[in-house]
Parts: sequence; structure tokens; C-alpha cells
Amino acid sequence: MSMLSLQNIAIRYNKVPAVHDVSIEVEAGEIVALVGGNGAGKSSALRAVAGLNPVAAGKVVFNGVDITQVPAHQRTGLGLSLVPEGRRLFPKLSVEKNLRLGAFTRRDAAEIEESLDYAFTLFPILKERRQQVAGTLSGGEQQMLAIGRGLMAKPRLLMLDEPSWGIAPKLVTKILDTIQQVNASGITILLVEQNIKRALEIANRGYVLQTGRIVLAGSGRDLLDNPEIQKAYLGI
Amino acid sequence: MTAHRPNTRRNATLALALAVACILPLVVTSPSHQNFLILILMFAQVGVAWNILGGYAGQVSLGHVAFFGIGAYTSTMLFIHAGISPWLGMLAGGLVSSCFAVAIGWPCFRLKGHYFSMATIAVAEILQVLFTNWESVGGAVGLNVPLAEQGWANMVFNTSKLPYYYIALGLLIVTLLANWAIERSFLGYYFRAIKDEPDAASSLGISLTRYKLVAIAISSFFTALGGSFYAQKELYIDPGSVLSTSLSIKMALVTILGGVGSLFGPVLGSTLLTSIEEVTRQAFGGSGMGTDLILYAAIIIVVAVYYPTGIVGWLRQIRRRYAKPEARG
Repeated sequence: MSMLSLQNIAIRYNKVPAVHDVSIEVEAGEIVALVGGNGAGKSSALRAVAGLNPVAAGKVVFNGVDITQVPAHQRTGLGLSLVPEGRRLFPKLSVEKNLRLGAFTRRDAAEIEESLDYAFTLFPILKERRQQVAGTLSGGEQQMLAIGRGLMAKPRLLMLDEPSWGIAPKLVTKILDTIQQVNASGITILLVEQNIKRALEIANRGYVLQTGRIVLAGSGRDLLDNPEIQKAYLGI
Repeated sequence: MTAHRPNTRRNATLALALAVACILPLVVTSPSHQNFLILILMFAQVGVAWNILGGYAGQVSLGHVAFFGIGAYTSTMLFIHAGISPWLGMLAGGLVSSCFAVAIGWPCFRLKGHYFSMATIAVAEILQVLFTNWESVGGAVGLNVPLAEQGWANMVFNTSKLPYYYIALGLLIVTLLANWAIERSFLGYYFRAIKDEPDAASSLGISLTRYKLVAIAISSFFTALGGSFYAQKELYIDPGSVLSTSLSIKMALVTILGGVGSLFGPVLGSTLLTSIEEVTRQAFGGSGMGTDLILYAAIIIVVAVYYPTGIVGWLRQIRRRYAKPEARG
């Protein structure tokens, strides 16, 4: 049984279809990437898993439980955590407050401190800036904080929406390395990226979306070697 | 670290403001001027209460007069029919108002942004029509607060406005303290998270509806206290005075003018707005001519275009401008 399975989901915005009949499986321990161009429906699908978009058809099953009708705020407690597109930090609150809000669903104070230490180990810069207001961080630091905040929920599945968006290429490497590091610690990763090459490099498997449908699926390596992908997205 | 310096300055300013507020009505002895000061305090208090929902949690209600009215009617009805002191009636009004707020918040919070605001207007309008036609609560004629023995026990004072002034000041301070506590507690963070990034908040596990309901319950409680106070000050209430739409707008406006989501914004906003109203009232006569509504519209436009952060934001801007050369030197 896979950890997450999207079964034939369809998503519409005011009746305008954005995703048609998409099925995705994520096994425990994997890094899975959803890639594709602008408006392909990647983020829509991810937000449906997080519960932020209602699905018009199909099912979302997490660890064998149908969560299609579970409201967003209750999915966090089940072990799902979303690092949203554009970071969506709380700009007027400090780095530490942002992180602590990430642990909203948890009660054990000692465990929360442990997670806070973990976030600071992953991103030491956040420890230096812990009292600084989140809105004043650089783009890369904000992304680190968003990932740290997502991890504070102690998820089993961490979902990242465009983590490379708007940050320097050098930091993209650092962030993708950290995502692999997080994955190695036992957290399953579902990643949405427009930066197709970088995403497929770290992914075990990938799905290519185009205008709301899955057009290709396979291992990260195979997709990178696929001539169609190279032609359409990688400019090779 | 020099972080404590602005704090001591802030505390000194607060102590000074409090001292002035305590002494002012002893210097200003004319009853009409005292009444004007009471109005400033009263609208500051309901503005601070409105700010909990509208400012911190970001849910702009334009029907807060419903809670004000419920407060006024509850304490007055209890006073008339059960002889219960308005002090207790005030608390009862707050609780009734909170229950009502949660009951209407449940469906209304399914709407977002402007749609929520429109729903709150509708609720307040319906309440006004209901009370106007409800004979047991006086209908359109209204209710007179019973002619009880004057004094603190009954919160009735016929010969002097002074006690009302101090009650209004006390209510304002209590409401400010509650706001201050919320601002620094986990609730304040949740409210701001809901306001700034609702999607992120809910994907962290924060139930938006639950915390919006908490915000409206607290906000309506303190708004109702203001309503009960108003009833005792005027000793007469009717739907046109305690359930009027323009009162709802004014509650929102003192906060928007002063500074949304800032602790003292509504106090500054109320001081300015009540003063402007007093001047225009003298110039144009009466308040039934709609000049107040024209004024509100004009202020909303000016604030929205030029000073979206209100007086508080404007003051901060000035302070930053003057603080800079100092820091360099």
C-alpha cells in the first residue's frame, strides 16, 4: 500500500477545469516530483492533497484512509505538511514564532524543542536570525524558514510547492540538498517544481503534467533521459 | 542593547496620558464638554473591541452594532424586569452577545472578505427591524431605563456626568488590557496568521473557523459592554440609537482611521473622529441630516488612498524620519 494515492482526481476553479483524471502514487520513503510548465495543474494537485482545493471528482487516500473530505487543518495532524508556493510566512512574526506556529498541532513541549533544534541544525542561519522578523529575510532564507516551519509539524509526508522559486541558483542547490537530507531522515517528499532538471535529479520518481493531465511518468533518471522531455523542457 | 529605551518612553507616555485622562474632566466642567469627552472614550472602547476581530483577525465586520445593541437591551431589560444592577446586566449582555456572535459567526465565516462584511451588515439590519417590531422590548418607542435611586449601585447619575466619564475610562482601560493580553498571547499570533496567510495557517493545522469564532466572541463581548454603558448614560435606548447602521460604520471607522491592528489606534481615531463630528454638528446643526455619513465616506477615501495604516502608521513614519539623522549622528 502506498503512503499517498491520488485516485482519478479532477479539480475545477469555478467550473473551469484545471486538473483532469490525475492519479499519483507516493510510496513511503520516496522523493516524488510533479513537474511541468506553468498552469499544468501541479500546484492545484498538491493543494488538493493539503486540503486547500476541493476536488470535483476522485479520491485522496493517505495511509489507507480516504481523506478527500477531511478539512485542511485536520490533515496536518494526520502527518501531512505543506510548504506553500511563495513561502507564505507570517511576515510580522519572528523566525522563531513562525517555526513554533508550525508545531501548532503538537502538544509535547520537549519534542517541539527537539524539532526546533532539528530545523536549526538543517538551517543554522535561522538560529542566528531567530529573533528577526520573517519579512526582513532574504528569499533563500525565507524558503529555509518555510521548510523549517513545515517540518515543525513532524510530518510523515512533506509537500513542497516550488521551493526554488525566486532564489539564487547557489541556494537552490543548498535547498535541494537539504530536501534530500530530510528525506534520508525518513520523511517522504512530494515536490512540485518548474525547475524540472533540478527536481528530477533528486527525485526517485516523477510525473510530468501538461494542461491538467499526466503525460509521462517514470523514474527521475528515465525522465531526464527522455528525448521528449529534453526537447520540450530542458532545451537540449 | 538599547531596546529598553523606547519602552520606558512608551510607559512614560502612557502614564502621562492616563494622568491627563483622569484630571481632564475636573478641569473641563461644562457638562456638554464632559459629554464630548465621554463620547471619545466610549467610541475608543468599542473601536478597541472591534479591532480584535477586524484588526487582529482581519475579519471586517460592518454589523458590530448588533452586539452593541444586544448589550444595551440585555442590561436594560434585566434592570426593568428583574431589578438586576446594570453592572451585572452588563456582563450578562456581554455573554448573550458572545453567544449570538458565535451563532451568526458560524454561517457568516463561510464567506470571505467583502462577502463576510456584507453578511454582517445584513445581520445588523435584520436585528434592527426585529427590535423595531418587537413590542416586548419596547418596539420602535424604545425603552427607558427605570428611574432608580442614583448612585454607583445602579449606575444611574442624574446630577453629574463625572461618574459616567470614569466608568467609560475604566471600560476603555479594561478593553485595552484585554487587547494587550491577546496581542502577546498565542491567540494574537493565531489571529495574525489567519489574517496574513489563511492558507498557510490552515495547512499548519490552525482551524480558521474556530479562531475566527474565538475572535468574534471576545470582540462582541466587549462591544456589548459599551452598549450597556451607553444605555445607562442616556437612560433611554431605541433601535434607531443602539442598532443603527451608521454606528456600525463608526466603530469600524475609528479603528481604520486610527490604525487597524494597533493597540492604541482606535483611541486616536476616536479622538479625531469625534472631534470632527462635534465641529461639523455645530456647523451644520443636528445629526439627522446625514452629514456624518458623508463625512465617514470622505474619511474612508482619504485613509484608503493616503494613509492605509491610519494615524498610528503615519506617526511611525514621522518618527522614523526624525530618528534617522539622530542614529547617524
